Amino acid sequence: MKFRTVAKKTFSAAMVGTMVLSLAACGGNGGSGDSGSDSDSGNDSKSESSSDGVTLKFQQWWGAELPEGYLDEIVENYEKETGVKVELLTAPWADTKTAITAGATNNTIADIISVDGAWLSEFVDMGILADVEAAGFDSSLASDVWEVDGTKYVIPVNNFAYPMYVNMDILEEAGVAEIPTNWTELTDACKKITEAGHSAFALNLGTTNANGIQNVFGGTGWASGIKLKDDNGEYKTEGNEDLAELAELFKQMYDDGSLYPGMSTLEESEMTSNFAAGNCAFTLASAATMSQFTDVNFEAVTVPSRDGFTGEKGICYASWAVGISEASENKEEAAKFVNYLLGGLDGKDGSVAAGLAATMSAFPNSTVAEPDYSDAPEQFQSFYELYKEGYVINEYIGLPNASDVMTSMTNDLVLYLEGDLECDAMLKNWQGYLDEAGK
Amino acid sequence: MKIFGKKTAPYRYLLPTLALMIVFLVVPICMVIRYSFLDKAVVSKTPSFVGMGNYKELFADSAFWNATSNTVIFVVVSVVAHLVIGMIFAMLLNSKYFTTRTKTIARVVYILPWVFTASVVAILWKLMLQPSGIINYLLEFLPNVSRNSEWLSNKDLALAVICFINIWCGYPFYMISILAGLQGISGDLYESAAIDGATMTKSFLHITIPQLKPILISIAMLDFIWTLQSFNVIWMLTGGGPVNATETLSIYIYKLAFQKLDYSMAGTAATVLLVVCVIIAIFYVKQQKKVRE
Amino acid sequence: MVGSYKKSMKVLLSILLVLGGLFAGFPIIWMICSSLKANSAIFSWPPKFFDETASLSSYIAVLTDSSKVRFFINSYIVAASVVLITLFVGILAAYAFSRFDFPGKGVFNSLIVSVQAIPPIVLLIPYMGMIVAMKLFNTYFALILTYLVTTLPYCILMMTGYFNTLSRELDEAVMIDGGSRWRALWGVLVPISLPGMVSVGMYTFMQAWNEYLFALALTQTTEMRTVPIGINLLMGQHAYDWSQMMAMSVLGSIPVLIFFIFFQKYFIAGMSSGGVKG
Repeated sequence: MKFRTVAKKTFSAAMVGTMVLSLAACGGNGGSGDSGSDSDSGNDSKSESSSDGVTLKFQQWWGAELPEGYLDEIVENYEKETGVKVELLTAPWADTKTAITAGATNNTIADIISVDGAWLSEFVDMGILADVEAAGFDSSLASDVWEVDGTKYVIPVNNFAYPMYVNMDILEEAGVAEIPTNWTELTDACKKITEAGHSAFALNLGTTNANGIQNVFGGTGWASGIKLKDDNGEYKTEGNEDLAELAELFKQMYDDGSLYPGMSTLEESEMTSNFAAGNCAFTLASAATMSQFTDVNFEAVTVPSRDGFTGEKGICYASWAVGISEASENKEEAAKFVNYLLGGLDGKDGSVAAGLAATMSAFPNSTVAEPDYSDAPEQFQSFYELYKEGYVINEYIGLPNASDVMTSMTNDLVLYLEGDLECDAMLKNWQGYLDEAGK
Repeated sequence: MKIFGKKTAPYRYLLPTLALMIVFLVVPICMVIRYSFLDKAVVSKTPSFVGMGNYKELFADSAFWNATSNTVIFVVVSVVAHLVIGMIFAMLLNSKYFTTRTKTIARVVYILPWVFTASVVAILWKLMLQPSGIINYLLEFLPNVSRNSEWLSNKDLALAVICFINIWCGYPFYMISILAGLQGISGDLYESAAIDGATMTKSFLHITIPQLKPILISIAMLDFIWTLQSFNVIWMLTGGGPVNATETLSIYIYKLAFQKLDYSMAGTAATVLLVVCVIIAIFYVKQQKKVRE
Repeated sequence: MVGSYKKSMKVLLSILLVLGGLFAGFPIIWMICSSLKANSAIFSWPPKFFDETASLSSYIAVLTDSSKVRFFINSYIVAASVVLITLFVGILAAYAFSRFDFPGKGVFNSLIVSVQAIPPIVLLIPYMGMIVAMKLFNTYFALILTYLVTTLPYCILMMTGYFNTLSRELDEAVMIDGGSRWRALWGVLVPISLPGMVSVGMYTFMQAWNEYLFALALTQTTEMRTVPIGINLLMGQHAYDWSQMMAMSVLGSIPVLIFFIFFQKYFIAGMSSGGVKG
């Protein structure tokens, strides 16, 4: 009985202690927002093992996409060769942005962070990203580095092109002899396919992750040189005739009943799974998903262009890209690791980048990588040839407030397709979102 | 030794709870309320004080009112349906027409929707409701339902579908609680009512409901607050779409905080939500007191 | 005549019972079927319950992946700790609410209910600041402490109601024998309240097991992740691993179901006494 009383009092005292301690702690934190407790908070268990070397933390979602253990092997090799340990922090793709922004506000952010094009501008605004060149990144290793206001912040490692996938069996059944190459052929093919009882074209306009406006709608436009920006690099959607024509193309497909049903909540993952199951004839999706289409007879081609268009085709792309966090205490070491990813230890060995690209059916951004695609699906090889004739483009990379703007644009596009909004009004709204975001 | 005296006894028992609540609720809530008076809270190192500016902006935002009306529909429909379905199922499982074994098996089957993670519940329903999903397949015999029928992506239906799914995964909590309440009602009450010639409907209205009233109010109150914050299921199913038709306040706040990185406005909206809930909670506590007296 | 009424009533209720069972169970059956299919077969038309791709490979893939097994272990550790601490702390508070009248009781009571109204998403940033400052980031404690806040209110409400149904004479008898209140609580009231504790425990376990947002933000390394994060890791950038997701969630629900089957009787009784007196 006595013991219990003592236990109770001890417990109470401990609780009071915790309370006071934590109150004091968060009082201190409230002021400046960063207390510099980064290094000793995240890797308590690891600190003793790396007393002589540096431990870099690498926040990414790639580990969940690559074959089991692939990324671990890369960082293990790196540790063997340089003594620098890289700890992989893997979060689900959809929540990596949440994890990074939350980490940034509390100084638990990793040294190297993976960045999607849609997050770039917000991360720069929040001061999350460091100047990579200043940190020691060798720009000659990369064909493309993402900049904001002239400062280089983020380096793509892999670029995923977005081909148009075509289900050949459905085409044959519907009596479409050739893969469409222009819009007229595309809408005609879609009509035939719809008449034959199939869904023709999948357009994902779900807003959990609103990227269909970029990958499918935007991707179709870029293939015909239709852009959101004018020649001066200013957003120009209001009164943009080309965009209006592009919107009308989709409107016609919608009115013909050719678009895959449920578009306004369709997500990219469901769209690709539907294509893989043979539920629709055409879709635009990442080349990374190609290896999953094992059960359908398909081709991967560039998107049909506007009738009479003869220019070079723009190909939509997404990237696995990395940046270095401003809060990192080891920016130089982090830059060395990024150099390693692109160009190996000596800046000439592109095997890591090449391996990543070949594994994911992606194209390396490294200037020294020569990926071996012999294990990739044959459709990839033929698409590779088409890819070389075009150029990659994605106007949403670096767009301020991108996820919010893309959601708003998507909502208007749904309204337009369903006949509740005029095309001019939609383009005017878009102009408003894009201008507002830039402020 | 006065602090260990009689008068402080209840506080000593409450101390761990209070410590936790103060550290992990009151303090953060105060911080959130503070955000609501600042511009660019969290994102900027030197946020400026804007007074009631954020509140004015919030109340002027039509999206906020759209979210509010969606939330009211979602919460009211969910809570009422939870209550009704929970009640029906509980009565069913309490029925004297079934053997104990049947009831035991049925109880396990009936609580199934409760034991899965919200994101999986969402994904599962999305798979079933998608155009080439099992639901359309099974319903094809109905007129107007085809393989291409849209459920979640139909602006006019989406909110109803979301409510239905939320009802599906939330009723077991009521069912179990009501079932438990039913076991506690003395059989004598029903017997004497039967002698007085009361019908089943009458004894349900005059005995069952009044006896269950305290438990019904308690769970409805808790469910109200939980449903208000329900986020994961809606987010994974529709992301607030199609065209904001299912955007509830929790989605609205999430978008503010993590899509627009506008913690000030997110904090403002959350504070408004809190004030509403505090008012409701005060009524609840008063009601509880009445019940006890 | 009475007999035929009874018979038709039974038929009617049996039909209702089956319909209700379908309503509750059909999606779960579909989940199990999906977990057995190959990933590419999940979207096939016409949908089938079983097809030629049926196998246990998703389950094998989950159970042989050491990091996924680790997610399950983490979730058990966190959920079990939360259950135990919630019960201990909640019982103390419930005892105070049930056995004492003191200034501020109403305020505390409404506080405990209403503070749940803040969406966790806005609390996330303040929580992270505090957890980092307390040097608990990426530890079990970070999750346990934050989960307690969401599980305690229900525990306190239910246990207060439960204690209210137990006669005060019970504790007075202990105190007359020279025992303390502490002894009366743990020696007499708590053993009688076991059913109530089981019901609260199960609810608490479910809450802790399924929590996603804090687990995402307050832990960082793969060794500290919980099952819901593991499930979401299967939702890739471009494609989802549907069948493994379903398999993982089926596996996750099994312990809870076993617990329920085992404690069914207690569970029902527990909810009862707690709820009735609110």
